[in-house]
Amino acid sequence: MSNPVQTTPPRIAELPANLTKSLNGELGGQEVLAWSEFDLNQSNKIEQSYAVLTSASLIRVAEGRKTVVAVGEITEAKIHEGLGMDRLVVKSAGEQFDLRYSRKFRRDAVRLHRHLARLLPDQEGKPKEDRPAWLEQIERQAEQQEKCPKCGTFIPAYAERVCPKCSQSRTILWRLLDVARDYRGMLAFALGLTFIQAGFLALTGMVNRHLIDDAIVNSVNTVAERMASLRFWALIFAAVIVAGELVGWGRGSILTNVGRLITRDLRHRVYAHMHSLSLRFFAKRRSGSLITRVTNDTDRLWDFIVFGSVDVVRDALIIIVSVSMMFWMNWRLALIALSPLPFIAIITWWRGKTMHRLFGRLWTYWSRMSAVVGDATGGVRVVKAFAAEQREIARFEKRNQQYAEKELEVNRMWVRMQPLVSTIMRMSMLLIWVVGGYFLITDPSPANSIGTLTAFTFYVGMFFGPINSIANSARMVTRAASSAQRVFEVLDTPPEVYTRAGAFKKDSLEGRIEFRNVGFSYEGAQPAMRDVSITIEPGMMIGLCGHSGAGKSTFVNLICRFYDVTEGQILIDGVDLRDYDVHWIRQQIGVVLQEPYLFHGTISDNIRYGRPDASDMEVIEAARAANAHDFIVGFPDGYDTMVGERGQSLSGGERQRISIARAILHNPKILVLDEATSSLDTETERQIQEAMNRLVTGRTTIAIAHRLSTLRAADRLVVLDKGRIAEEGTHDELYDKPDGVYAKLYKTQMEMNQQIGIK
Amino acid sequence: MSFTLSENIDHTLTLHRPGQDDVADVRLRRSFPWTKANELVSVRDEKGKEQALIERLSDLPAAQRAIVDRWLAANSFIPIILRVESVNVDFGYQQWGVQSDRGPLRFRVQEREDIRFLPDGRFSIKDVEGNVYAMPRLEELDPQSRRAVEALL
Repeated sequence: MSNPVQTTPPRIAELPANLTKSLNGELGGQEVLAWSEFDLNQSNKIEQSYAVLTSASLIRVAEGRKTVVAVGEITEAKIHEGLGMDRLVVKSAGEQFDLRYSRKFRRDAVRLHRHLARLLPDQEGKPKEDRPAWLEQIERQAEQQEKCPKCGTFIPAYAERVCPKCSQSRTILWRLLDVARDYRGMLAFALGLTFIQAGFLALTGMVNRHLIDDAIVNSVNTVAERMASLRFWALIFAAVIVAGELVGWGRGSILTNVGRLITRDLRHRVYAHMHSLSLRFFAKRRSGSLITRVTNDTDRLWDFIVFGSVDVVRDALIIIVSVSMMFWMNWRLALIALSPLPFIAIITWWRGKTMHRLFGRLWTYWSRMSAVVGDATGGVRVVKAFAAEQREIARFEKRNQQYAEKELEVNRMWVRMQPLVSTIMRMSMLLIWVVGGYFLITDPSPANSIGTLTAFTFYVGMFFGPINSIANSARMVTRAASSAQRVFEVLDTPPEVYTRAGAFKKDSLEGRIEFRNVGFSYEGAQPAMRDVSITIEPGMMIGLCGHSGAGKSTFVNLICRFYDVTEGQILIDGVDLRDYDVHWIRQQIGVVLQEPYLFHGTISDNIRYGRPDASDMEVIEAARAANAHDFIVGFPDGYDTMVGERGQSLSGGERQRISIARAILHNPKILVLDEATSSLDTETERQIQEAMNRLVTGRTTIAIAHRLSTLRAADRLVVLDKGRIAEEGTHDELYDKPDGVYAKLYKTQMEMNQQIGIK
Repeated sequence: MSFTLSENIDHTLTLHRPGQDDVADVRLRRSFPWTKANELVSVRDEKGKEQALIERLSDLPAAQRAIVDRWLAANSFIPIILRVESVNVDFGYQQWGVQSDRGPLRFRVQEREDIRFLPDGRFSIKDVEGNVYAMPRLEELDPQSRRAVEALL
């Protein structure tokens, strides 16, 4: 059976080596359609097994044993969703597979199931028709995209198409220095100054020694000589101090400047890149965490690149220089002076570790306390409506109390350790005086002079600071590395929706939209859209209706290419949406959202958002067409009225008309309307309707319809249900369907409106 | 009890109610999985619509209770962490290595917020893939495990 000549290598799914080995030629030249690892056994404990699907058979490999079922014998394949795990149950005449997997392998298992389901006859017993070749092609491409282009492994879904294997192979800190590459000249200069500064610091001790030994306590030379010596060494001393500080100042200003430039570049890169990323990236992350990446994390990196790395070098230098000076002056005294050092190093290190942990916990308590404040102020209307102020205060008080207790713990720790460290430090000074004094008294050689002793105390005092920072530098590095990781995660995420090579723009668009067997799923097993085919002619208005979750928003998301389809294709004027330049095509599409978002700025800024170069007259024309001009001019500040973060000073109807004006000015060929669900008063409603009618004329319009008036005005209605098109037709056609989804939907709405008195 | 559940060969459940059609392939969902695991268990059909609600598992007849327990055990994977071997904060992810009641596990946790402190002192931990793990109270962990996780909480 397995003639090696016929063997085609598995194309879609590359099997891992150990699996290929245990399959042992079972594939028999069949192409592997899909495979998945399964991690749970029949008692839901961890146990590895695999299932491999070829067009002829399904092979299960567990503990090196193979079970093979011919596809023709399989009667049913179904995923039973459980909690934290699913079961893929495959029934056949002889064997029943109960393949269990945790979330880890869900994507692969669902893929396997999808491929398997295609090979099986559907419930009526007739075999599925062949899928068109282009569809296969697209799917194949989608699957290929999930592989790392460098190492070829499947990238786990959580990693957002950044291969975790590859992104870690290059050390993160190295990359970090890469960011600073443009400024390496300045950094090197600063490093040089650092060396000089350390040299001057070392000199200070020596000059100090001479000042004392040659001038102050010198009993050999004459008074005049000693005075000359005093003047000389005092001058040198002053020169060393001034020169050292000057160098320090130069170094500091270079570093802060370089730091400023590096963070500016980094912030720019992160923010600009973030805007190129797809909605999916944003949907998965809290906006707070993204803001942190642009602000805090880049800042922390600046701290590391500029001060962290250079300071560690300086501190190490200071220690090396002071220690060698001490040994050069008097090695016995140096040994004694340094004897408490190990203790101090250990204590400092341990204290740093403990304090870091305590501060981390303190921070958690702090953020829990702030969360209450944020929560309550954000929901202040609800708090007041439920008269829950006292409860909120109590909730805050509890957290506040917890924080205060933790703070006490931290303070106690700090207060306890500080005296210990400074006792040891001062003891070592005392040790220098006592032992040094003994040396001086018994053997008054220059190596034991008072100047030497003073220099010693100077050096010992100088390197306690550096020891502290070196002991903490390891932690600083890890902290910087985790910030770097978060920042690089953004930079490394390739834009999912991108402009293909050879993508093009057209002079003008007619606006014909065509969906061909479109399927889409946001994530995992649940498809949000299945096999949708529809053609919308230029200038036509369709109303999308259906229950919530029926796929209306998905429809809109796909047309705007916020996401790419996972199956099928969308054509605009007969060209695949993905073949257009993504920015260009989005410019041709206007969106009026249910909750129009107005940016912080003036009303005219907001109307101009889609076309910043529009003239004031054009803005007014657009506002007129949107029935917005009159109320805008009625504001004291007219078009210069500032609208808050969410335009809160405006009513819902006003905001909506501004966003209609924005769309009119933008003048798109294709228009997407996401209507408000809430009803407005009759006059506002009429004005908006009028504005809408002007807006939709001559544009292909897709309206997510809630209002009866829109439903009637639409040329055609598309009723979605669970991601499929359930019904399609004009209002009258659908209304007459006795059991239709639309007829039911419309009747309930009519009843409801009568109840609340809207006609 | 106004309904009974029966177990099928493929481990699915069928709901029987007097005077109504049987519902095949019903699923059980705990309404309060973390705070009241053995109360208010919802019996739902394939589409997620509730067909019955078990108020207290302890009120069920023994045979029914066994069926429910078996189904829940066979269809849920929320490992209980017995020992934490290591937690390394590795470039923003926490890499956990643990011993659980389902065997040894390694998983990644993205953010501090993915570790949830439950009212009874236990923890629920969500990993990057979406799996959820239960960790007992700190006091019930051995000293080494406690030290490993303490810094993260």
